[in-house]
Amino acid sequence: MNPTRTPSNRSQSVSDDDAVRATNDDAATAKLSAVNLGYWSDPFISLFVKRTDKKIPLIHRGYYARVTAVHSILKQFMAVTTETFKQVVVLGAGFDTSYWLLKLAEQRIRWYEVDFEAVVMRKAAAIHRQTPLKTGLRVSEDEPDAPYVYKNDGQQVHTNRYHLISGDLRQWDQLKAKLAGCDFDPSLPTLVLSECVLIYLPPENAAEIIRWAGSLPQSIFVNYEQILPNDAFGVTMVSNLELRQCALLGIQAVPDLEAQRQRFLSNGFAHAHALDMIEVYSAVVQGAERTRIERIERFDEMEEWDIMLRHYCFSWAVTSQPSAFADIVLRPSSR
Amino acid sequence: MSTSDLDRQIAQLRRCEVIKESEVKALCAKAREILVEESNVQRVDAPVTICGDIHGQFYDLKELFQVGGDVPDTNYLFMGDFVDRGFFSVETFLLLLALKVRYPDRITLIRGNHESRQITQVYGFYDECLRKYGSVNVWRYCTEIFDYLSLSALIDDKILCVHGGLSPAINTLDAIRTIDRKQEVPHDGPMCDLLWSDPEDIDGWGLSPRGAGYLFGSDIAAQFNQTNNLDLICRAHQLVMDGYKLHFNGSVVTVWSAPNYCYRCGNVAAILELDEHLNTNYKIFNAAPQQENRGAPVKKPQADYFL
Repeated sequence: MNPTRTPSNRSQSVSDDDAVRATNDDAATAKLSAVNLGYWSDPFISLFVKRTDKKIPLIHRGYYARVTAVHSILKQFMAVTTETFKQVVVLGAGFDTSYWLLKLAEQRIRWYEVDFEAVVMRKAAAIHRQTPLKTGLRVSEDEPDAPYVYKNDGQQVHTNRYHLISGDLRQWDQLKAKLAGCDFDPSLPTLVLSECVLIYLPPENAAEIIRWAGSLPQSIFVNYEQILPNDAFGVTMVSNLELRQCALLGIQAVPDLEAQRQRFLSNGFAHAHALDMIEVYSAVVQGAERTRIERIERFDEMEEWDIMLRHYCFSWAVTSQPSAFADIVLRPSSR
Repeated sequence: MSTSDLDRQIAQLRRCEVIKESEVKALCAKAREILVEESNVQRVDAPVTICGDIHGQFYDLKELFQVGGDVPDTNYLFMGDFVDRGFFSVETFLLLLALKVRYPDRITLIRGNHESRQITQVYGFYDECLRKYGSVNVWRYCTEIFDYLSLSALIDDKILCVHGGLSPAINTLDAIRTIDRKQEVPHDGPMCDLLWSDPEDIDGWGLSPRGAGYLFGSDIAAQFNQTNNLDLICRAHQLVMDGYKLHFNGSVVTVWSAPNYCYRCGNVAAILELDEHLNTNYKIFNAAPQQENRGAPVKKPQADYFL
């Protein structure tokens, strides 16, 4: 789900950019598989992926937990009243549908999605072709930034508020310039979202991006990625993904929950939280919703579920304090 | 079906090559004649080697035979979950079934919770049959045989082997014997519990997070063993990273025989060898080296992650 390597060093690289890009398809296919079974509702994901490669219940439930957790934070960020616009930057966004799903075109929000050029082109083409995606970007003519502008040249997409940009996260200065060219304002409240993205970067590149976010006066960073590379499951995970040319380049630099927290605190953030996905599942899936989820499919993967979800970390951090953003916590979802 | 036909099919399956649909049909018919005669509590004499879940990990099953010895030299008891999850459920189950037909007194197969029409449609065996044979006939023959598999085995009157565990509806071995097992695994009740329950550090009975079967505590296991004059309950069903795990001061043991489960978990596997005096010897083994396919164009096993 991100950067581009120069052809010269591609041959020596352990992590192949095409393979990393393919992780977007895998994630989108898995989400579609879960959505088709009713784990959550997302009428937009099928507009990006057609193939339904049915996954096992563990994968469905795990993606449900992740999407629910991300949306919990995102919705609370949206709910904080500010006089200004707010901004969201989605790193390695892939076919993320949150902008449509949460009807964000109707909110005072500038939304930036960044990914590989090849992924961005496919997303731009889908937006161009699929009416619900195209109309979902439309900003009301009553808004202060009207009249509505929509530009899609197949390489990038821009509206008054939505920006789909291609770039290489390993060349952050270039991407910062592109963001600035799309009205990105460092002084505005900003949420940066990264799901299984930073981990594919060399640690110094990941740290650079976090340091940038940590330098913004009001920012919140949400990160989801693998941890615990050194136990039996973790060693197998690292080597399996390496076989797929998706080396987890960053995992040894932030190998556990505490290291994930410290990475934020040492790069400008005032508060940081890190939970494994077993803890996240308990926090966000409760009561009647939990009963509903656990009845969708017979589940015979309890031990694997436990071990796999302990190898995924959900973390978030805020820079400003005191601030309404510091009160953001994981909340149970309800229907 | 002649012995030479059967030997040829076994040789073919040992190479991880499927046999013809018509051969599967005949094999299942033959297996049914043997299995229908078995008790719900099938008597087995020691020495015997006890194995847990295999889950279609064919090359790891071959590794198991390397470690434990071949059939018929070694007397085996497999505690179910032959199919689903791995990439070679068809070859795995048919090999075990063919060995059962060829050497009925040297291998015992009992039923796991995955030997079920419903579960195999979620966890892979159904799709694999469809992919490898172009129809679901083989799945149908196999799932019909699943209904004939015994529910438990009793070794020298002292060790009860069952896939999952105990049931609040069962206090005695005779209660197991009275179950009419020739059916799909029910959603609840004693037959379901035997295949789905787990030991847990609780008092009495608890609800299972699996949505089927129960959790049972050490008091339940102790009572059951005392009532039935047993030394040990041997079961499989739960992944344990070290291959086996003793529970409740040794009154229950979990044996797990699928190394690097789902090509993802990084665990070792175990088999339990019992000698003629029922002394226990656990043998640990690792996953077979991957792609031991002699150049055959086999799709690389790829484990799912959240990406």
